Amino acid sequence: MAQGLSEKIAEYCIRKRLHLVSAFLLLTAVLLIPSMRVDVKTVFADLLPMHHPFVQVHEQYKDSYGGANIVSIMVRATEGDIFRYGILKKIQGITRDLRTVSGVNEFQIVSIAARKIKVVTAGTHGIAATPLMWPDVPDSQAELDALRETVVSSPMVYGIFVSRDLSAALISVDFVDERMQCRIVCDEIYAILGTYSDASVDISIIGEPVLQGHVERFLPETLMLFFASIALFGFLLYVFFMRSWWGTAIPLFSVLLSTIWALGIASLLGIDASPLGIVIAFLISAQVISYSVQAINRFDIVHAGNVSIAGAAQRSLGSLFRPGMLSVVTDAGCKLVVALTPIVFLQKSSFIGSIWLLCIALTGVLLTPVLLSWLPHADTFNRQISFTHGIDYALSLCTTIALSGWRYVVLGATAMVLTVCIFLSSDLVVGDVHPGSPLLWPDSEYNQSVAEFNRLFPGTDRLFVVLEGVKKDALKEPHLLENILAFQRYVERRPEVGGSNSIADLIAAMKQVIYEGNPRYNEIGDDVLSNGELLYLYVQGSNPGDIDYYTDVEYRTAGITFFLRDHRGQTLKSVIARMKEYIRTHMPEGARYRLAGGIGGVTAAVNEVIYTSQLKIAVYALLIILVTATITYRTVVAAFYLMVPIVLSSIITYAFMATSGIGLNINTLPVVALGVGLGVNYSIYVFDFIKESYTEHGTLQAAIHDAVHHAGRGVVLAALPLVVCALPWYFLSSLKFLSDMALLIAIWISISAASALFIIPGLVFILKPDFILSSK
Amino acid sequence: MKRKSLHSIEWVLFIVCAAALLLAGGISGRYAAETAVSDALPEPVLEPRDRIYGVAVVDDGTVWMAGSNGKVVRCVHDGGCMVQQTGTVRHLQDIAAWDARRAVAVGNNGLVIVTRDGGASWKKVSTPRSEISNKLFKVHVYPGGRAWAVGEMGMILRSDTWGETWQRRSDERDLAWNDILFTDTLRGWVVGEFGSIMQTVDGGMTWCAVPSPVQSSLTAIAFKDRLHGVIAGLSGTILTTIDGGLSWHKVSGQVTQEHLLGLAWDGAEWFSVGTGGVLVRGDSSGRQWRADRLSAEELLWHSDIAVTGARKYIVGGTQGTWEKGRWKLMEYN
Repeated sequence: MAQGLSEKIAEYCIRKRLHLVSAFLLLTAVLLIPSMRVDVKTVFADLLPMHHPFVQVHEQYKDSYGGANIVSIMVRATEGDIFRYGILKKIQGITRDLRTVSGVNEFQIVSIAARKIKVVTAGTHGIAATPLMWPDVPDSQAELDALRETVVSSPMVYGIFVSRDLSAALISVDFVDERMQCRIVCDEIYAILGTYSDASVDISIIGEPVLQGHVERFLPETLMLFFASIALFGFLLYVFFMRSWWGTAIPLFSVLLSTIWALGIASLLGIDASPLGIVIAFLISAQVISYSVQAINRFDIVHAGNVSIAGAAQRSLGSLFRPGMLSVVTDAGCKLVVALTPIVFLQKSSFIGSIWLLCIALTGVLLTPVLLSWLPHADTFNRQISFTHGIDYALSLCTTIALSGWRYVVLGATAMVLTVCIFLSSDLVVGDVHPGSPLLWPDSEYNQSVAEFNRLFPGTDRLFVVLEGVKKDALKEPHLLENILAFQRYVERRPEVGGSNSIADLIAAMKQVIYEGNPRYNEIGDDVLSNGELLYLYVQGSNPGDIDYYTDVEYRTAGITFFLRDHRGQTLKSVIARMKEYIRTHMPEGARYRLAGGIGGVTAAVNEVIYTSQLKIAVYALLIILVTATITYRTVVAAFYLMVPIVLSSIITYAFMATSGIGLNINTLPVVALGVGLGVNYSIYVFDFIKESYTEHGTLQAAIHDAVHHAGRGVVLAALPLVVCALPWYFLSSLKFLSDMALLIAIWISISAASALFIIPGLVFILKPDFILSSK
Repeated sequence: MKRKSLHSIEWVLFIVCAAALLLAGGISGRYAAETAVSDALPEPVLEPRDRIYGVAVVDDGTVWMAGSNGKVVRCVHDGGCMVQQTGTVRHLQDIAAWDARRAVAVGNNGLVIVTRDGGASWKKVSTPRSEISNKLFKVHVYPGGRAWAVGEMGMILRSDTWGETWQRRSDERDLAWNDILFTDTLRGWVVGEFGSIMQTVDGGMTWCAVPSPVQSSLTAIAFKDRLHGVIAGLSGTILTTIDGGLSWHKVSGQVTQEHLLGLAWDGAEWFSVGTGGVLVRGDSSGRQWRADRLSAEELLWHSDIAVTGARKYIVGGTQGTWEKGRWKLMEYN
């Protein structure tokens, strides 16, 4: 892009400023209504990589073997065990009332009070499968004692639906994904539980819909923090830097406009927003502000040279057009590559981010100088505020470092920091790092409930594997059932696995029952016929669907459910690896294992996809910088200079995440990936200013001095308030995720700014690139 | 010259930087495609899914345990426990040992395995078989290399060769014998399904039925001397004799509803274990019995007891020791 073209565009924009602003306002008016209709909700299907084999297995079998949206309710007796009429009545009541919850899968409400939970008894009358505690709750002490004995002797109930110490019962409920809305589900379940809460029981509740419901409950608080941050930014900008209403209002106006445009376009394209996406909104607003502040700063500098207001606006637009567009296109490109990750949620985030960034090209780069051209007073920004002296002093220090021998010290220290951070970032975990949810604080009610569940039950997170037989009745074959048991045994050796169950366990338990409950017969039958008879005994008199949890009606496929103690990235990686290892060496004849469904399976799939995508994203982002910088400066070497801050901030961020126990997951990836371009404009502006200034002054020292003092001032003005604005999020957010991300963004911006002020000038002065020197 | 060299440095830095990133991306992609390799986990001594049916202790304190999936664990006195390589995945129902080196284990489908070297190697030996079913439940050993085993289809087996060879000592019938006991070389008893009891007085050459006061299955038998013995069974059945097993009497009252599966005399008291973590204790007269739990938290079943001194090894759904009135789960290393 030639310099002349930038100036022509600038001249055109200022000349036609009324048309331009009218067009912008018209566009805003058109997009205002759609922008307010953007749906803020969590769409589960969007969170899954649909092409991944695990997710395909999950989608195929989730209705039988349990989806990813299971909610678990624990009713724990505050004293003694649960075998008291009052407590059992509560369990029965909750089990019954859950049928009224929106989007519930009625066939997947399971507890000791559910009709489908049966015990098989053998007696003189023959063998009968009867519901454990349905339709009535026992009320006499003898009946309660008998129920306790029955539960303890039922391996499919004891430890799974009743805790081993008999103090708690589990009620599990699944939902139809398409019909479920987290907030509504969460509210309705809490309303039901409220009617059963009293001093005799502690009722706690966990599960993905509940977690998302909790997150959505914090939406008003999060929005308040968002607006408070923006307001704080305005305040800081006014009081400490600009001392001008215009100088403060214009960046905020740019944010408002680009937000309306981006949300309006997203709404028209049918893209909805996630509650946690607000952090991305903050991230992008930060970038809008950066561009606008840069433009005001440049205007201030030009205007200080006794140029008219309109002339200063035109010249600042002309000089910032090239680096501004380069920054916006690079930034938007970096965000667009996130769409390479085959997860709809990330693709949506990527599209919204890119659209928003492209809006900045109009609001931040074009509109800001145009609005400045209408300023009524000539000396608006020419005020002597003590704080700006401080900035000038700091910038002088930067210049001194860049032009003296200290530059080698700074670059050497940077190299050392980079080396250490590369080493540290190798510990970055894909997936969650801690048990419970990383979205909430460890002492939150939800995470405390998760810990309590794991203490009393085998594991909160389920993962199912499917064994698909080739022919009908395959699941009656002893060798397949033995293989399933060996598989369960092999995987259970991992300490992260609390237990498992399958049709093989069911058959073994049935055989024990028909041999008078003698545990020496807890084994599968010797042949197809005897296993068939054992299954027949279980299903006789049962309702359709009762055996679905274990197998299909043709006994061709079986679901093997594992209870995991958590869904940390390392847990899932280890468990999946162990499963694959078994399957590789023990694949049975006439059947095949397929991994893996349930919350554990789909989270593992997401982790795998993120793992394969994240470095791809980084590489493509760098390629985009390579292309855009090469086109702009007509040399590939320019790209190298711009890559330095990006590589540096990425690596330091990864190292920070690794050392702070923040995992790379579906929630953090958008922030990390979208942050790649964050602050790249700082370096581009300084870099471009050096080039421009060298043409004017003829010496590199003078050019660097000018660039650091002028473009660098814009960097400080944009970066410093943003870092301060991240603090309310860090200290006040009820969501740990937002607090973590605020800190991450603050670090990212700081590194980008430091790179622009210390490293870029130092590098340029050491390497003296041809394409700058030749521009003289 | 200087300018040229600086220009070269720029290019070298750029190429190295780009190549390193591309390489990192490539390696990472390949690594992820292969997924992680599972950490090698050594086979644990015992794991939650294990069911240990039989336990034996020899004089030097060596403990032998046998259970599901062909698992045999040998623990040395005040030392560690080790899983034995038995070469079978069939369930073992019981184990007995002559000493720290010689042991025999029996199990499903007529399985009998023996070791002569402290479990370093196990050998499968052949036994007489039924056409119908062949599960062996119990094995007991006696001095001189003698052993007795019982199981389904009326199976009573005898070995005089340290378990290397076996002969059938009963006719085939549709009844399972659950336990066998000899008080000397000639006098012995078997107990089994439907309250069945048989006695031999000629070293197992002939067996004759003894009247039983119950119909429920009997699972274990023990004698404290030549005259006084106890039989335990399902649904809390306890039978006693004071005349050397000529007549058996049901203990009055219902001590417990739980199935009783294992039984032992520790020199002072009778101990029986079974389902639901039950521990039934009887005084030396066999008249006073009381049921309790091994501990408030222990609710699983147990099928066998082995006594050594004041300590009792109890195995089943969980494994532990009972000593000085306290239940302690075994810790393995």
